[in-house]
Amino acid sequence: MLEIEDLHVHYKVGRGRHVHAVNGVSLSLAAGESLGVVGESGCGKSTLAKAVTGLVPITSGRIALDGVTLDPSRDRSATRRVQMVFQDPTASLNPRLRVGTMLRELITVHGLHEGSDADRRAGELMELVGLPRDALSRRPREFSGGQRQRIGIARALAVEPDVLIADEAVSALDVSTQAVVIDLLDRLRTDLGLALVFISHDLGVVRAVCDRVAVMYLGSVVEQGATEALYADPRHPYTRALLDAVPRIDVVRRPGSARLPGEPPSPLDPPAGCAFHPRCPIAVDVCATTVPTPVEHGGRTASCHVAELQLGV
Amino acid sequence: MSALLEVTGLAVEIGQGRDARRVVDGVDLRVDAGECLGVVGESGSGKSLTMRAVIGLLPRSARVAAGDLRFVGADGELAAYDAADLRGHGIAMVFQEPMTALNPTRRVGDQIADGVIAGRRERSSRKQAREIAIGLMTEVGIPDPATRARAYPHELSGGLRQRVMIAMALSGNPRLLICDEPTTALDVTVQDQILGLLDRLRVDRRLGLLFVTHDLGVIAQVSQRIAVMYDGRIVEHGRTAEVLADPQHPYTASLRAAAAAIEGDRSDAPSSPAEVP
Repeated sequence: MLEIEDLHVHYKVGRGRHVHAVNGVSLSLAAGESLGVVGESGCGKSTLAKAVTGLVPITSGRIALDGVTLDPSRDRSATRRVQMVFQDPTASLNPRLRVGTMLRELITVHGLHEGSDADRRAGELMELVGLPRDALSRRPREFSGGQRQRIGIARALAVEPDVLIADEAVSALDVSTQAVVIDLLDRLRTDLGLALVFISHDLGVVRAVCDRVAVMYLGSVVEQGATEALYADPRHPYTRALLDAVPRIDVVRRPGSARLPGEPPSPLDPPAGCAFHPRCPIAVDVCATTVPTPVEHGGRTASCHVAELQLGV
Repeated sequence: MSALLEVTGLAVEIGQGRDARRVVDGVDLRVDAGECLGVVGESGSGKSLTMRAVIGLLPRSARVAAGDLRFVGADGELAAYDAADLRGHGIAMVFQEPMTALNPTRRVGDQIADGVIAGRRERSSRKQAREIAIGLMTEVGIPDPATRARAYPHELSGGLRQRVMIAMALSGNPRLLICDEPTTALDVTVQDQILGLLDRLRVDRRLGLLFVTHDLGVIAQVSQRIAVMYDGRIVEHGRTAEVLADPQHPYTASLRAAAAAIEGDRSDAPSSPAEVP
């Protein structure tokens, strides 16, 4: 349903300098499917979300919905079909608008329903996200964090999208509230056949939510594949390092023992060859000079010279 | 083991007179030197207010309504303390969000040096304080500290900012460090580095750590004992490994199940535990 091909988003910074925030990303997503996008801060995952929803213009590449190329930064019907749920529901909801007013405005601006039909639809949306109908007459501050995020989801659903992009949508919530919102997203995906792009730095949450996962590093996807396969046997050393760093209840180890030194380099001045090689525990000479190409094997695609050698393909 | 901090029967109230609401009630805590006590609970469970009562930084609307707070003195004995007097060199705090806790208009080295000057009993010159600040930056693993000391907070990454904040907390040479969700805003890779740093400081300096978080995975890595807060009370308390392996209180069990479901596969998906009232 959603196809992203060789997407580039470059930001201009100062004279003649560009940040390659998204650097040749290709992803695809079917209706009712959920795709997780993970990576450290600055890896370009949020820029990817913004490009797909039309909040930043794309530099090159193609975004298509049901085979039709669209330019989300120009085309209103495209923005309607791809909706975003933001990280911080407090900051992304207008504190002065009652929930009902906000929803009705969205519904009428997009010409979906008018008058009492719009009211009825707003009530349905509340039901859909598990809030009482009288929530419509209240303002965002009267709700808890988890309830506000439900309102954020209701807002995204108000314009009847096909693709929902959740950018760190549960990161600001408590664990038990996270579980509730995750349940909700999962149910909406199945019931409404929504395609879900779930962006998060929390690998545990992604595992609970997503069918497939794409791991981003410095603007590029370094590995993608089915969630369980990727978590059980990560092929790219960066995926492995990320997974090792997740603190777990059942595996006790000394903090600081996950061996991923330093922080990602600046995308203004990316390293030559494989972008990960300066931090990579298994890098060989070729990694410093040649950019690895994605290699598919066993339903997973990884861009790593060493993994390629090990597979012997 | 020598106790650094002992809290008995702590109650915190918000509001005045008839409107007063007890949001923390009957809390007992103890932290030893060189030990990390993890405090878990959701937003609104009273864990942050408990920490703020310990360090004497309660918001104006809240006050300690009952209980004893005692801290170790120079003679090694526990005694009631005045938080304003201990803050910095007895008890210090690392906040969640370094971007809001650091002053955006001052160089980070100067901010750490301020802490050195404010926290030391003996007078030190600005120049000496700067040198001590650079020493602290080295201790918390900031590469090239002399150059970085001249940077402003916005020029540093999230991980470096949190290291600066820890250096600031150490500037008064405290014996107890309160860490309020210090890694929640960080990537897992950087989180692991910061947790490693705090663990090293605990051992090297025999620091007591009061580590507040909602992340049970983090608690499992850093703490020796754990206190679970719910609705203003400590509902479960014990050795971390034992509590996590066999939670006795239903709330701890539900927290553990939620965390395990997110960690593990989706087949044992969470059965939607209720939100905190």
